[in-house]
Amino acid sequence: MASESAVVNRNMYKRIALLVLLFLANLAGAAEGEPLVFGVLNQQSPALTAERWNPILHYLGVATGLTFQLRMGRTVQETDAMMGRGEFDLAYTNHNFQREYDGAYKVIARWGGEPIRCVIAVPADSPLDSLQSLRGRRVAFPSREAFVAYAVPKTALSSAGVRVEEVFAGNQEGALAQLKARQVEAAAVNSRFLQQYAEREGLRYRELHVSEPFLELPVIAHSRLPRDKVEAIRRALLGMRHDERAGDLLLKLKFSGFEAADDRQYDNVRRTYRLVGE
Amino acid sequence: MKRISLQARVLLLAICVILAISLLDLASTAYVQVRDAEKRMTDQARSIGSALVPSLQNDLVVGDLATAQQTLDRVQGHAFFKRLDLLDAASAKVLLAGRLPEATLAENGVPDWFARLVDIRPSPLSIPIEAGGVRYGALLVEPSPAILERDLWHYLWLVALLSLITLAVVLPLFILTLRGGLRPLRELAASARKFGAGDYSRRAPDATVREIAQTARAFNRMADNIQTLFGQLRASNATNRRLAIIVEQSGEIILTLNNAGIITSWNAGASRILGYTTEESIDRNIAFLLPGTGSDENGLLASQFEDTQAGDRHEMRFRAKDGRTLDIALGLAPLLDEDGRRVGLICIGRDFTERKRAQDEIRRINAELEQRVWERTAELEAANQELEAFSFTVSHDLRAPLRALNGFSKLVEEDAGDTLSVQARHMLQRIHAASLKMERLIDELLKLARLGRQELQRADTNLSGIAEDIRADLAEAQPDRRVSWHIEPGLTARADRVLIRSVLDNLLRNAWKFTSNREEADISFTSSKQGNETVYCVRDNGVGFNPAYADKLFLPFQRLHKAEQFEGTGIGLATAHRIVKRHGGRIWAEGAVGQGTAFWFTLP
Repeated sequence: MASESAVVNRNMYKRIALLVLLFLANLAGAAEGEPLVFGVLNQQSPALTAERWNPILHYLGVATGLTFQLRMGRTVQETDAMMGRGEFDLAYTNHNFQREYDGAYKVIARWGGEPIRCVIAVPADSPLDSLQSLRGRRVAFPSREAFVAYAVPKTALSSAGVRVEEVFAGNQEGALAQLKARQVEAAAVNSRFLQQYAEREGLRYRELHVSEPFLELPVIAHSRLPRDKVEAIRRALLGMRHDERAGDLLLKLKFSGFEAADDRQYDNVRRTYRLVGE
Repeated sequence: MKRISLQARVLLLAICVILAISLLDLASTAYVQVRDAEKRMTDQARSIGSALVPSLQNDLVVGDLATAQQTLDRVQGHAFFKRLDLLDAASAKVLLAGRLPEATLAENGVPDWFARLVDIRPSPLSIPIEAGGVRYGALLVEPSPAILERDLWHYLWLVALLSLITLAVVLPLFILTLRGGLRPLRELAASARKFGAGDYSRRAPDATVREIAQTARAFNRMADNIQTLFGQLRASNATNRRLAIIVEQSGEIILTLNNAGIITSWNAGASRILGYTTEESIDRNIAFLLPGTGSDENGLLASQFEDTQAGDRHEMRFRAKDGRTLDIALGLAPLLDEDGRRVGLICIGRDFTERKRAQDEIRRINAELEQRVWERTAELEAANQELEAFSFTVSHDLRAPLRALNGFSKLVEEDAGDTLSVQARHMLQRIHAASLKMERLIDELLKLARLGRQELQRADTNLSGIAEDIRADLAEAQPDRRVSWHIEPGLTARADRVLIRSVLDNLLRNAWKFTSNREEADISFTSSKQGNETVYCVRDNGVGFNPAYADKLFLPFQRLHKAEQFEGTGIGLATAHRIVKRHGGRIWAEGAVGQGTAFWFTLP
């Protein structure tokens, strides 16, 4: 009887051990198959964001062998909150340089292209000729969450000691449309968008203020991601502009490809957020 | 089958056609509308679904299913879709389903039969929701037929209402137009009806519709023909009635037989003459009328009738019902049908029993008369012979004593004249003269007697020439007389030359004689036309005569003047009268005492 009991116990232990092994293997497989969550700042509607970023994430998956899932909040605040809760493994944003989020994510690359500046523009025939002349005037901004188009000009206006009547148009297109319609007396937008809009809509404007240059948004990685994965992703991002497989995509997105970047290159962003926060 | 007027038929047909066309049009329109609406609904559903996609893209990209549910519910609030579901991208299971509001779930007022009839079944659509090559799900949209059914139901009601209104407006106009259009036809029908009712003068009026006008003209031609035929038929009927009356009321027997000799018709005259009624005679063989045993003893057998021609006549003896045997004169004619085939015999008989009896009597009397005439003729011939013998006797036997008397008286005068006294000689001379006169009288009488027996020998005779000869003789005999003659030249006649010379000699000598006491005597022989007759006239201006005795002028020995005044025998005019009569002519005299005489005579 004793021997039989021993045999039963041995079998039971074997079974338990097998089950544990299976559970652990399952956990490992699950961890290996989970897609990496890629957050994107709300610069466009979620649909347009997905139209732009899903092909890029698909390319990254092909290039790295990883899987990615686009995720974002309905609003900038939601997206920032998701970022703050660490829901993103990777993100395309510069809101992480705000004091409350800074440190959890590291820059691994940036959107390619010339740096952009903040421009406070008035109609060409406007009598306004300086930031001081904007005092008390209606000035259009895309939104409170905009960095280049709000945080930066807000800092400039604050530095000049000018308070204006802020009009939030929802996005940069709206801000310039109100300027063209003379609903506002000035609009704060980024320099690239202003140039494109003026060419497209025939807007004749004059620059009252042009900020220092700011790099395009960075791709940041959460510190919990394994280094090899981050490195693989970074290589894929930087190699995209040279990869034939990404040729059609880049052409479609009218995008030159990601460029190398690090945290220090965004110190002016941190400084600006600090100034705004103060 | 109830008779319906043409107008009602056309109206009914038009309404049926209008209704059928309207229904067909409505059905086809409804069908097309349904099919178009289905396609439109599908397109619209695709459009709405496609419009929803960006919003749902946003919701699904950010994982906001609550907003997506709100979006679906909000769209479903329009009740356009029967289903509006969001399907899971991987499992295709319903992730979210748009919810219809309670109000829209209520009845749409469309009857079930109508929904089943139109059977609108728009196809569901599945619209994928993708962004950047990633499929987030699919939107399943299935349009609801309720709205379409309701719209279609309302549309059909509207169309039906409009159709009724249109029909109410168009129908009176159509009826008016139809009545106007059919008026010539109605008038034609009325004309035909009245014509059929006996108004044969009725004619159809002319019409502007070509076919009706042609029909009206054809009807009028037919009516003309019928009217003419009716007129002819009436005349024929009248003739037939008249003939029937004549036949029926005829006093003669008129009956018809078939080829077997069976009596097929029997008139009242036959009943009256033969005593048998029509009922007793019809369908019986004609033989029952034949005397004896009914055999055809008169030879009038049916077989013999076969050769009868129209106008054939027979005399037969029929036995009357009362047993009398009647002599019947039958006129026969074959009875022919329309094709000219002989089907019997027409017999028209007349009872000539009495006439035959009278004829027999007349024949008998004539025979007696002929016998008498023959006897009388014989007597006359005997008398004539006696008369001739008498004349011969007179001419010879009377002449002999006269010649003796004349001769002896002449001898006495010559032998003893000197011895005789003057008175005796005078008496002898008178005896001699009287004997000569008597001899002339005998000669004239003989001549007159011969005239009755002498045969006429007519020839073309020159009367004027004869008159001229006589005039010359007379003038030569008494050349000292002053007489004015006027003889019309060229007078001729077809007459016996010898006898007509005697007539003219008597008349001209008569004129010469009775104008002897005229210083200037006028004697003429002329002619004149009285109708077709030539009348010759011998006129003189002599002593004339008393017209009261004109009828005695031409009698023998009748003298209207004393012999002392004018000598004569009294035989001349009687002779002239007899000669003219023998020529078939007439002779008469006109005159007055002292005013001359005119003798007229004709020579046919």
